[in-house]
Amino acid sequence: MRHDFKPAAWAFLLILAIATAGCATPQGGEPYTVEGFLDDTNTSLVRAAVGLRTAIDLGLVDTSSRDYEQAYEALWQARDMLDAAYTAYGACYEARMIAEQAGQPVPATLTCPEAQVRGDVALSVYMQIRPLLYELTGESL
Amino acid sequence: MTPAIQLGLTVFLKLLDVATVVWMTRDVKKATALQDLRRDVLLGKITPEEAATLVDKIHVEAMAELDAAIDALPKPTFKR
Repeated sequence: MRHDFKPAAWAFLLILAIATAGCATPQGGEPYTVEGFLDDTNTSLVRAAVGLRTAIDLGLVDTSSRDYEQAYEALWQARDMLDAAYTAYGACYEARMIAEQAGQPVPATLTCPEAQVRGDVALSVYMQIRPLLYELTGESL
Repeated sequence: MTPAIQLGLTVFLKLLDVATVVWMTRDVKKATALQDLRRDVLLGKITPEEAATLVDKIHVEAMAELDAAIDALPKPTFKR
């Protein structure tokens, strides 16, 4: 069978390639930062909550089920831990600014073990309920 | 491929592009805000405490988005 590629098909492929290239553009080799990690965790949690809400609106989730209760409580737990992580980060940021202003040597990127640990817990709680979220919504959230 | 499908795909891909740009812009804005604060502290325009307060404000905004998303979920009614 002969494949006849029409201009429209080429145009479609071109648009697809541009869109894909735009999404895949590297972010300039940004270093790993606690701030970025917390923001990524925040984004994941927002996405999970919004996805769950959408599934509820579509009638896919039984809000009287044990699974939903588990997911709901885990989201709140992760949220509280992330809040604590942001608070710890604020304290580290202030300490770093004081040190920097005083001319003390500081590492290139701000490290904050307290924020990292709390953020890790928040992410871990979210990762634990991911399979459950998939079961509830049928989507990878 | 019919013109309608082609148009639909084009619109979808454009929207995807716009969403990506908006998302990236948000991150860049935040990074710029943090850099600006650092500069202001080093120039003595604001104190480290004031900078930390502003950083906390940025975090409160980030948490507000998450809170709104979780608050929108109905309370579970599971009976033990």
